Amino acid sequence: MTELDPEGLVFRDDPSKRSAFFAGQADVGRLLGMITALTSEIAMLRARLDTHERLAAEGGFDRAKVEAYRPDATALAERMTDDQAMIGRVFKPLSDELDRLLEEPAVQKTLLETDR
Amino acid sequence: MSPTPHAMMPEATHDEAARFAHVVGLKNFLMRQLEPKWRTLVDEKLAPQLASKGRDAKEEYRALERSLARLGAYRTWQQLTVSAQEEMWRSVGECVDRQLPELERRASDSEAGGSVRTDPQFRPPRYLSTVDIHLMPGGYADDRGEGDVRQGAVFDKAAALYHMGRNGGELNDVRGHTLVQHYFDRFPGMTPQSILDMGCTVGHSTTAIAGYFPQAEVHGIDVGGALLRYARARSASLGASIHYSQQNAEQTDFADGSFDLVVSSAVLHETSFKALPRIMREAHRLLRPGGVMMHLEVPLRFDTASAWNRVRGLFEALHNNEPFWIGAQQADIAQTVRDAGFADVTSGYQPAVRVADRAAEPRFTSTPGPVHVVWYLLSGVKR
Repeated sequence: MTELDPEGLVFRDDPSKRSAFFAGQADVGRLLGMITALTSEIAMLRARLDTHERLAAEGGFDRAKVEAYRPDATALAERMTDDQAMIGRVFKPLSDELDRLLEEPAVQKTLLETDR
Repeated sequence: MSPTPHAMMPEATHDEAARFAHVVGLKNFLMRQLEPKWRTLVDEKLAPQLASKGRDAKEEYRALERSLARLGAYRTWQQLTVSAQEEMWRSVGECVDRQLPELERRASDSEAGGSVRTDPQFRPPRYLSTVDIHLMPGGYADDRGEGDVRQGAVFDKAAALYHMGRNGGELNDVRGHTLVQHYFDRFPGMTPQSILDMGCTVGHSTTAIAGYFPQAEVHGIDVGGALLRYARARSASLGASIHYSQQNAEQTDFADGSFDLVVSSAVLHETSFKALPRIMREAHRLLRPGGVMMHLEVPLRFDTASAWNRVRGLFEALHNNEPFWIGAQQADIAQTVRDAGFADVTSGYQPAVRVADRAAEPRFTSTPGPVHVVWYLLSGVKR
């Protein structure tokens, strides 16, 4: 259902249910949700490791120092670059597939066979 | 703990802050690395091929969306975009729940000014209650009863992540400052004594606006008790005394002619065709003669949107739970304002500012620009 209703609103067929992009394969959607959460945990662990390394370079650390540590602007920028690279590696198969689609006239042709 | 911009902002631990930074990074990757590829595919590869057959990709955006959805890669991108949004709410919710009793204590202890009036009988309108807008679990109206501030804390903490810092960092008040700059540009010399912010959520814009007019009585209305309790305490900790009440902007309980200035900030696209004229008529009723109404909105119009932007808009509407996203971009809101009886109706684009300046050269323009760089501003005067 993609038509606006008389009030100008548009909803999924069953608004009470979550978006399902993989019909009959709900596990695929769940799996991607789990990968997303796992990536977040990896990012958190990498940040924690980075904190340890930076504190070690300053002469030592304990749990309290780790918890209290906040990256300065330079460290934060380095972490963001590092995080983007990690995300890029994890989701590279998707990015590569998109690049392939952009160079595939045959696939593009099938996309144009729309049911107007 | 990280320093916070005001006393109510939930504090993030080392690990929570790392998760928040990552979710912004993931959104950034999906929006800035992958989405441009879909845009290229649709607008630069598919649209010209359709055009060569005399067809218009913009008109066929729904069919194109169905075609794209046949691709596993497209469905994966859709799912990841939803998952990133869900991850944002989940990680913020966890951070808030860890410290909720302390936040509730701070909200109840706060003796600085303002007030909050909730209504246990209040029912939000259909356009806000059918789905959880932006996928925020529980939606704007979520309220667990007297003293609850959870949804306000979740919304406030997530807002800076949602906007990826482009709305003024953790204060999220650029839109409030931009509204005031528009007021200074359009109505130099005027100073309101009473102000109403419709759909104020946690008072991001309301508090910014109040800061420019310290003598004014300022009110904010929204649909959620937990949002409003949090909003009052947040404003108070920032030095503003604001009166919040749980009301529907289509029909409030304020007396005729209560205000000199009625505003809203990115609220109209969360309403409906039916609600828009009602909100405009209500604003007209609430203003004194000479009073000003201003609405700030996303600077997007459906008629000028590319085929990809239309496909993306449909995704936003259906899967980020923004049911009026497309309708609002198609509506002739300026005409609705004229029909409600307003004079001097003006619409255009106001460059976003972090601080409004009464002496600044007016920069209100008819030239559109990207979201967060400019905002669509619509105003009218009650004669």
